Amino acid sequence: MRSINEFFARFGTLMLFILLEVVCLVMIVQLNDNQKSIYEHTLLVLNGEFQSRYNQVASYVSLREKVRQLQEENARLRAQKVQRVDIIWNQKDSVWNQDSSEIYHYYPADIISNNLQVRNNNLIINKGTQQGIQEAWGVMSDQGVVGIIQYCSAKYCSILPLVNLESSVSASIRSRNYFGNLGWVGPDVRKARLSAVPKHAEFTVGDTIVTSGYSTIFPKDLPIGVISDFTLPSGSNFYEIEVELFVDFGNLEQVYVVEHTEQDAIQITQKEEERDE
Amino acid sequence: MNNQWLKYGIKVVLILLIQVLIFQRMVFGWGGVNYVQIFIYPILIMGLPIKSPSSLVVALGFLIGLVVDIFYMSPGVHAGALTLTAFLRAPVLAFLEPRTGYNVDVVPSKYYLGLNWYLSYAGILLFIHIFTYYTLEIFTFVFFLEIWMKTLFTLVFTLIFAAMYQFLLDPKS
Repeated sequence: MRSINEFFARFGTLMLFILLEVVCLVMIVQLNDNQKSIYEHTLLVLNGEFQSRYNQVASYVSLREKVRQLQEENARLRAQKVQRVDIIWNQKDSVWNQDSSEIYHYYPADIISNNLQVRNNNLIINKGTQQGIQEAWGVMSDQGVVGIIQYCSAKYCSILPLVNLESSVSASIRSRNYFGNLGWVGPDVRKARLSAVPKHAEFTVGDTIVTSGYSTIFPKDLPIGVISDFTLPSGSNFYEIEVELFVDFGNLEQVYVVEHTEQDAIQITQKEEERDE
Repeated sequence: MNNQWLKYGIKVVLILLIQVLIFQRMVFGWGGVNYVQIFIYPILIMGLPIKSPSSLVVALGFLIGLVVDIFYMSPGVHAGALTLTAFLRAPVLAFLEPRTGYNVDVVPSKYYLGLNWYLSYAGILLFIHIFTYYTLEIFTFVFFLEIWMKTLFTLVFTLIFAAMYQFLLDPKS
């Protein structure tokens, strides 16, 4: 109590003064037209200045993270490009040698809805048929395979992600050339299951799973995940392999839609073959 | 005590009447700009007894300024200036304190402390008041020169009237 009294004895006048001056300033800018317009103008200028400064700083802060992501992606792309050049060079004499460097087109897109309910997981992106996206194209992020376009409207597309019970992607164990079928049994969105890998296959935990390139949806060797566990059910000829996915579906923002420019031509060929048979 | 308050109340009413009936019309200048106004009402704060509680002085400054604002139709401008003047009265008094100190129950006036002392006291406080007034009135430092010019001319004329008040009435309380 005594300290409060001392405090008021020492600072009471100052506090009263500040209070009264604030009252005066409020009256001045509220009740006088000239001062009010000057005040509002100044406020606008200061606010605009502040906002633009803040935005600059904010974009700088997030820029670092963006640059880091782009660098990582760049590095991966660089590695992939080298691989691809090798492949083309190796196939120089083959009948399959065509100018395949432009086979895939990539369309950047943003995830606008991320609906991860245990059974019917789906994602929606902000690109649609207006931007040239079509159904059954692949979707990847800088981390790896995301899923396949399921349905397209003019402006939006829904994606059937890897982590959907309906999903099925042809995948292989990198550098071991065993192929299987990657699906999902739930409920963990960080894990998928690779099945139909034959009993005699050799691999270990930690091997990387990549796309096989046997479909027209994804290019070869896109990363999917790593083997975290596997079992060989008794009486079965095929392994059940648990794959830990690279893509973090809970935290996915930017993706690329993959177009295989020769998709139509290949499908026509397949149909003709079927008819011939 | 009551007698003292009554006398102060009458003084406030009279000075305010003189301010709004006479000095409010005495505005002149040249080149289309009114450089000179006369603000006599700060002497109501300046003339309070030296031992007055400082928070009372600040509150009185605010109230008197508010009344002046009603007549000048400038809510907050005179009040803001006079509140600052009232707040800075104590530091100015401390700054001008004679070596022997102030006697108890003395009012800051020519009668007790001499003309030179009174002119510097009134000069400092009136400068604070008038400069603050024009700053709040013009409300932008874009017209910095205008604020200074108006402050200077208004200060000179106001100081003349403040000194005249001391000579004519020679206040003792």
